[in-house]
Amino acid sequence: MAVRFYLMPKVATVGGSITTNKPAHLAELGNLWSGMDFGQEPVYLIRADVTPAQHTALTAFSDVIAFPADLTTTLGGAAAVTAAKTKLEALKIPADWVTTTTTTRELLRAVARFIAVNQRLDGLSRKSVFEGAITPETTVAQLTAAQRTALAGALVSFGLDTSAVAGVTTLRQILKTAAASIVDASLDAAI
Amino acid sequence: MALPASDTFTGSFGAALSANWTTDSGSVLLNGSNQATGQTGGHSFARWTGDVFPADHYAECNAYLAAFQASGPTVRADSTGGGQGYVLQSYDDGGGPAMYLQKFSGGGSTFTLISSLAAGASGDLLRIEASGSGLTAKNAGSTVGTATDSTFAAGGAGFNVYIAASVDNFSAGSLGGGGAVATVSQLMTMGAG
Repeated sequence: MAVRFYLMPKVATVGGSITTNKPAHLAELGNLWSGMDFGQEPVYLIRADVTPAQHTALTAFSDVIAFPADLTTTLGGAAAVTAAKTKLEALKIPADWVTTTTTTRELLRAVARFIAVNQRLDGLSRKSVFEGAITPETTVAQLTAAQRTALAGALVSFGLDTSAVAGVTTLRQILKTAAASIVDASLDAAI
Repeated sequence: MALPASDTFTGSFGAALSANWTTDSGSVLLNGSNQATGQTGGHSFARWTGDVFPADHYAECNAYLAAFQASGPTVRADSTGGGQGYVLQSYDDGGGPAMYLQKFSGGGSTFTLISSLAAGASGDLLRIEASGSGLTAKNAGSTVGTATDSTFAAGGAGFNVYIAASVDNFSAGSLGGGGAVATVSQLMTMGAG
């Protein structure tokens, strides 16, 4: 068994009047996993203690991004960095900051914090940072007043000071700065 | 009242929960056997409102269930949308018991899995703790799972029963000390992007 991290889709199943959101490949994960869903975005970050067979089964899915078990390893060369950026950005996870010296742990801790912001936004206002046509390049000025208020509420709930946020600030900048500022011992203990 | 809160649900069959409780969704009554029992065909969420809970708190109860039922303690719950928060839920879909750490919203119309845990048995003493973004699930005092989630930062403790499942020996209180998430005081410098 080895603890590994994966990004995979979130799916919803409906039974009667109850909707349950769960990782797309629950059967392959077994019972020893925990996950952070990306708020209202259809993505899960999974931490799972898996067997080699389970890991092989999970990596066979084209919609699963698997991370090295050794979190101290760097992503590798330029090609690996480009691949990681492409995959993460496709999920609306800012990755332009990733370099060849970024370790897997640094990457995962940042991703978990991006997710945490969107989770809080979901909890407070049932919104996503990226609702509708919003992308990481969307500026604060392009958000509706309700979206700005909701985002500010989520950031402030983490103890962050938003006074430096301006109309030209992009969501990418906000998320990256938030990820760098949020202190979370529980997250760091898990990753 | 003062924390810790506790309730052994002593009372006659069909009696209402005490005034310390608010039922955010569904319906819950005492069953005459010192348990609180669901009275609907869906989820019922009751929350202890006799005290205000700090952000970091726990809830525990014995969770009783039969096939196609579920029950367990909740934390950081509030009445938004008919009830939302975190629940440690013992569950039986008819194929045997299972246990999940989940988020719930819409009064139990939507659940999001946070962790699958080793199955317990009807009557197990389940406990869920929320400290910062950290969630801990315990069964009979032993930790059976941990997870992190930042969706809900505040709320109160309570319990969930699905259909006619029951709970007993509820207790809840502060975890004390600071949470795992420290308050961040540094200014966000947006030019750092």
